[in-house]
Amino acid sequence: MNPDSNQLIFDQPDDHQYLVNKRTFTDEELFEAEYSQIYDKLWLYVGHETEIPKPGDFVTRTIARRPLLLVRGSDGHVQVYLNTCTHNGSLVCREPAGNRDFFPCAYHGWVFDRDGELKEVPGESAFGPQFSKSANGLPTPPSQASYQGFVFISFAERGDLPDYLAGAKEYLDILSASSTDGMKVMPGTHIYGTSANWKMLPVNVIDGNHFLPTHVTYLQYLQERGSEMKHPIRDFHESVLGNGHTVFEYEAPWGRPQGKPDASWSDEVNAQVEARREELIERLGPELGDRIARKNRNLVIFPNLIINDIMGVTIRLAEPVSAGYMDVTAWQIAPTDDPPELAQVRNEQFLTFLGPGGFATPDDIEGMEASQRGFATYREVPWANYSKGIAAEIAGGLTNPGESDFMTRAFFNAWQGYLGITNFSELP
Amino acid sequence: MNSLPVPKQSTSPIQNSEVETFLSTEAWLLDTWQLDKWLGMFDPQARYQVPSTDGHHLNSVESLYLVDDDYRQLCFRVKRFDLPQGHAEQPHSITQRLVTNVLVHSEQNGVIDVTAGFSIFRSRHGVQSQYVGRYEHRLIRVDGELKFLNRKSLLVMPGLGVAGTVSIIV
Ligand code: FES
Ligand SMILES: [Fe+2]
Repeated sequence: MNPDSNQLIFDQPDDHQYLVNKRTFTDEELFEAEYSQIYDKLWLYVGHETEIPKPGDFVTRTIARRPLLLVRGSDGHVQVYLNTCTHNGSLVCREPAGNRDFFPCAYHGWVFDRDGELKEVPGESAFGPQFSKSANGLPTPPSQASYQGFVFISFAERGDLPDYLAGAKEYLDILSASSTDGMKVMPGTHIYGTSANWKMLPVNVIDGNHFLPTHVTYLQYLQERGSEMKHPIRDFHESVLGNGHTVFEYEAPWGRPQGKPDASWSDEVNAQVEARREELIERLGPELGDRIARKNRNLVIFPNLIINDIMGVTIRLAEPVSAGYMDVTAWQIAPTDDPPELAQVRNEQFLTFLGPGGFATPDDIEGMEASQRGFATYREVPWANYSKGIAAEIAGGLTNPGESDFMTRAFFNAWQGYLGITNFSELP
Repeated sequence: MNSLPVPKQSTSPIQNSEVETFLSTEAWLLDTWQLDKWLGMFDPQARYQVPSTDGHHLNSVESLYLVDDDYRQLCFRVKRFDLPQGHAEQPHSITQRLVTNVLVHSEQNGVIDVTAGFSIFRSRHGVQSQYVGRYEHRLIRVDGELKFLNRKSLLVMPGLGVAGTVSIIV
């Protein structure tokens, strides 16, 4: 059967074919439909509670095109507000981060406190007796909930974050258990744009196919610094976690400051890493302790949160700007109690692979941006091929790392399910 | 370096022009991709650092930088530019750097703190993007020659934006 070039996805398991229309990465009308069906309805990651540890600490952030203000209130609770004044709509807070007891609106002087209450209205009596300050506090998004310190909101009314996170909860639990004293988001944020469709980022993270061709220079770096390179990617486990979330778990040649020593590190540092591993096994048992210490996890929580717990641990947030461009914000999350020598090695581990200046992430970005430019041929060459592994799946056999696109297929199936259409002709 | 003393030309035996020549030479070597020669401008104890755009004042252990290379990492960074699979810089970007506002802040026991402003116009895949910022370097004199002891580049930008990466030396 020949695919209809207006279909979003061509899924023919009998022919071992799963093709995604490249136009789904370039079409602005579809992009608007993604906003209304996905970004305006699902749970979206907005930030981590450890970014604002003290009452009055705040950050501002743009999520799904809305300006948001995250504040830790007097009672210690983290609240997300829509950053807009209840008077004439101006941004109430125009700073990226800080600590404040009050948020005075610059335009006409209304003053809100750190608990979102409206405290002062110049010329209040002129609004008449019906006006009440208590009814004009800072507005909040329709839904907000946290899981293990990860704060999510939704622009739809919903109360189901744990159900929505589904199998991804286990991985947030695992990450949060990585250190006895907890994990915290470190200051210093990687803020950058990528000239590619937003779907490319999660798909890149769960795509085991690209690792060797894209990242061979990183492996060379490890080799040259003296890491143990005998074993390639092994002991891997890929799984579909529900609702579009996926994870790829595996052991890799590199050390993990969280609990796997590396031959290139000093004996002192390796002793600290070994102690971390023993603490994990002591506290969580041999199976989970060893798994946290030794294995890497690439986690995608649909649609906008990506967590790589690999040689370093990074949280990334993708904000779609247009069909061909996204803003990416990335942080390091790390044990709160790393001694300075270990913290230094941990940062080196992170920065030599991850981030816009690493020896690997820029190559991922190059791959995504080069794909996006290639997608302009969608009329002549409509299909991106995500068929790897279907034949083995049908035969009931296992695949090796990098030999299956089954998580990518799960991602696109969930995406199409949320969109509620299967063909470009159904766009409003 | 906010606490640096205001520069006083009279107490500083090093001439501004010597630092200007050093920084212009560096820009020339980077723009013409003579990176092995560029590495020769570093002391083996040196670091190349780029703090995150929202964390200029933070130290590199307690915060996340964009780049925090010791000399070994820096050598690999340079080598990677010539590896065919260093995709992010294959083909190499075309750059033109403008370095200006050079100031010597202090010179003590052969350690010289300097600042300068820079902009880098970078073309890649037919698109030009820009990096703008300030250098806060620490130099030392080794056998009469200036060397980097700390080459710190503060990007004065809201984020990397369309520049996307710091895959070139900034
Ligand atoms: S818009 Fe805020 S006080 Fe008028
Ligand atoms: Fe990658």
